[in-house]
Amino acid sequence: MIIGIPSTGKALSSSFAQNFGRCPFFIIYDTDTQEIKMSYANDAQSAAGGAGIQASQSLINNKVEVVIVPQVGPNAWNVLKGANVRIFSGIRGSVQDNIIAFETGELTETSHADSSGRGRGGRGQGRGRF
Amino acid sequence: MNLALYLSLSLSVALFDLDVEEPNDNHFLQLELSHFQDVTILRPVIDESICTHCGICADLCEFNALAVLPSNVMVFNELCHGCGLCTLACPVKAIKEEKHGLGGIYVSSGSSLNLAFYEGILNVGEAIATPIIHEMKKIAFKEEREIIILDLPPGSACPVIKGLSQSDYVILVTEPTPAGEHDLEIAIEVVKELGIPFGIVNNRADVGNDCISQLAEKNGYTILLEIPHDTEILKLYSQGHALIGRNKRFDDIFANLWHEIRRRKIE
Repeated sequence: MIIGIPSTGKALSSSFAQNFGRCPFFIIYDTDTQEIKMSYANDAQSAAGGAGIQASQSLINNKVEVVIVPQVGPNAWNVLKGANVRIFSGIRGSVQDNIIAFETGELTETSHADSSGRGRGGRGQGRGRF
Repeated sequence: MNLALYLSLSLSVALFDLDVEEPNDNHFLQLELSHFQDVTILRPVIDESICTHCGICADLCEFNALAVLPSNVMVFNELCHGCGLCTLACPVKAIKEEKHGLGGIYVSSGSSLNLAFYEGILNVGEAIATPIIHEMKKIAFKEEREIIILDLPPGSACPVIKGLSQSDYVILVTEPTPAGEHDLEIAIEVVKELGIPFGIVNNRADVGNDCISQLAEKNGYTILLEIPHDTEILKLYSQGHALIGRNKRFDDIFANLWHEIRRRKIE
């Protein structure tokens, strides 16, 4: 199974990022081979708007079947669900901690997006950004 | 708004309320407004029977308004700026564009006054203000008035930049607080980048701290006017009244402001 995880670095020891759309890196992990399939800098980190959408698109392009997220906004939720990606709520700690928690069934699958509003935003928050 | 009202006593003036997310000038002007035009943008509609889900459109979209999934394309209308790039780039022509109403422009009816007034309104739920500001500025450039005043939203994001560009002079209104100073510094960066001369109005200058005067002194910025804290002004404001024509003291504030601007522009 291919899992996408937002992280602060490219290694399994990197911290699990606390922001999905604007995380620094994504790690794509394959539970079958027990290895990192790829890791890449998240281009959406500096997006003016729609970071969650862009981040989700990149994960879908990389064929993830599961994502582990700190929280996820409604737009990203719709994109991920539209591609039948399963979404799990992560725990604080490293990427490795989250993979272990996922594999031992300790993570909960989320049933809805976390906020009804906009993303957690860069310049986007507040008025007049567009 | 008060400056426009003051100038209209002796000159022909057009005032544009470009704060289209929450226009407020007419709360004070109380003019009869009539519909002038609608503002629409074109947004993509995907023909799923033609689309190959190649992903080029989503990849090119500067605003992340498209997501291409294995079996369908999602369009996030509230993020779309209507630029049309996706339609141009689609290799199989699966995208057509449909008009989408963003808001409207309203104009004061009758020309009894020396003041023509235009108000732009962004529809509730829409997030893209710039097309309305763009259309209003097209009208502004056609207006044959001696003075055109554009009342812009606060901040320094796209609507402000769109509103400022091609202006002859910028009046930046601030307050002497750390938050006021912070926002002013960012706004000044934008105005400098656009190469437009500017001056500062320091509102309620005698409360708060002296950060604005220090900032101006340090950088050689012009303070056009310092308006003192005045409960009479607040009272009129809260009752929805303009300041002009109520008290000579207030008329003089705007007379001074205009005098300072003219002096600077002539220099």
